[in-house]
Amino acid sequence: MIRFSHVSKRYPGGFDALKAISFHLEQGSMNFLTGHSGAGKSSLLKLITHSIKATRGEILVDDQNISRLKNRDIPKYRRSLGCIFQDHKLLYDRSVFDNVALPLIISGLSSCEIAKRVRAALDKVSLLDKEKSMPITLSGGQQQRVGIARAVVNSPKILLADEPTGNLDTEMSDEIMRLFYEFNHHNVLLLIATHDPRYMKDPNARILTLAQGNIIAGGLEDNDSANAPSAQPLE
Amino acid sequence: MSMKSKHLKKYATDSLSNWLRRHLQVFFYTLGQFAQNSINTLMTILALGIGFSIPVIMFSVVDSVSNLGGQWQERPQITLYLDAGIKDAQIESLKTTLASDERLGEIQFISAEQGLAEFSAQHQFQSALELLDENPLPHVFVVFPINATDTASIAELTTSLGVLEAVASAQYDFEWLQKLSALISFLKRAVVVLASIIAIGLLLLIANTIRLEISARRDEIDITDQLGGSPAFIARPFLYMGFLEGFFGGIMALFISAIVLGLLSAPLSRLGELYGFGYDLPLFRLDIALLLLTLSGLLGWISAKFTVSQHLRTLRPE
Repeated sequence: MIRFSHVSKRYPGGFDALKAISFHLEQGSMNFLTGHSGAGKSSLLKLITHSIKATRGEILVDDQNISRLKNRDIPKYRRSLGCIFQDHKLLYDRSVFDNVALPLIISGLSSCEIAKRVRAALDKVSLLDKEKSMPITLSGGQQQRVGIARAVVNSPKILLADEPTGNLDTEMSDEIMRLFYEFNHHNVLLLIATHDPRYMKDPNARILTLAQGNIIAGGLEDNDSANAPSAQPLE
Repeated sequence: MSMKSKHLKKYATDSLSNWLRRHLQVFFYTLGQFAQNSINTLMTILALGIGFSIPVIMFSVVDSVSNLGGQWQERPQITLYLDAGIKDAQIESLKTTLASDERLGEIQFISAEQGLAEFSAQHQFQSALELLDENPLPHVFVVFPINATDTASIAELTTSLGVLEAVASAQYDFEWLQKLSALISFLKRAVVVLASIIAIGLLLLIANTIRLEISARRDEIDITDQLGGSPAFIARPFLYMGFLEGFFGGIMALFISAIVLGLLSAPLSRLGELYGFGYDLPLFRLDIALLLLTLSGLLGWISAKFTVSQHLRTLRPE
């Protein structure tokens, strides 16, 4: 579903964030992306959302070569992804409901359909009673769940999360992670950037480990065939 | 086939109502934003209104003055005053002569009685005329030269008509006319130049409010871009804002110019009376209003389009 082939990213100024990395994530799989800060985790996620362009290599998402996306096709592509951010990236001048509705308004759905789907998404994250609240009145964990509801309201097949539990305590983090596994059971591909070792004990999850722009575990070797190696949990 | 066309029709109405809904959403959203920032919005609209009102006021005054002189200005005319006590037969033969003159187009005959009636209609002459026992006015032919537009050839034509039999004198008041038309064309040019300068100023003013709005809503723009909002979707509220600011600025300008023209109208019509014309300065003209609202709305839209496009370019992936 997501395949990187020898992808490099060099920022203006000459910094190599990623060096010829290759990996393959399958549909409906659970994947963690880990590594020290500055190892290239954010760059990798930004490449998938096409917020930045790869300097070299090929990125296939759902059989679509996104390195060749035309500017006018980027919005449609991004609507097929769900993104969750460490700082939630909510809009604080509008209610929880309006925040979750944003992707649907962008897609141009009718207000009746929007209400139905927003409530379904809020129900999944157990925030149905908060739909009229302003995000600022919610706790960090609740705000993150609003962010998750917004990411899944369009029913994407791919969910990307950048340090989703970075600012949360253990209890809230576990709650968030439980939600992610729930989505995973519905055949959604998850790619979660985190450096919390507690979540990397799942033997069914693939763990991509980045160090200084290289994949040191969980990726495809240069000589590997198209078949991905089995997931290697990091201990 | 009918199924297919039914589907197509449904699709078309769906996407039309979709389109309409998106635009109505943004329209009301923008009005809501205006209401929320009512002080700022009012200040902007007032500033735009003052700016737009200046060319409107100038244009209204110049246009109504140029309409006054219009009857002479557009078509040069020569007035032939006939000898006193002239006979009808002589008038007829003069008319034939004038009609056969190729240099002349339309010919109007104003009898002494008609002339008197016209004078009496203008109240400032009425009392003076009542003092007279008999009609002091001569019969008059008003002729309109064709192909003669420059002063030299009209002057030559005037001289040649002046020596015709039964014509006492021929007059062509071109000096007054020239001055008037030169003044009017200068004023018209001045209005256009001034309006262009003001338009550029207002374009920048609107661009600045849009720029401020963009930086105030930078997070929203970034998040919308991240969630897959197209550039058109992101730009739409700002385009509406620019358009509505311009449009409301135009409406404000109509109010301001009506007030100012109301203040000017009394002294202007007194000035007009001194020159022998009774006239009104219209405070509101539909043609000017429609033109202004179209241009002001368009100006706001263009300004916003330009500003937003510049910002959207920074969102493209690198």
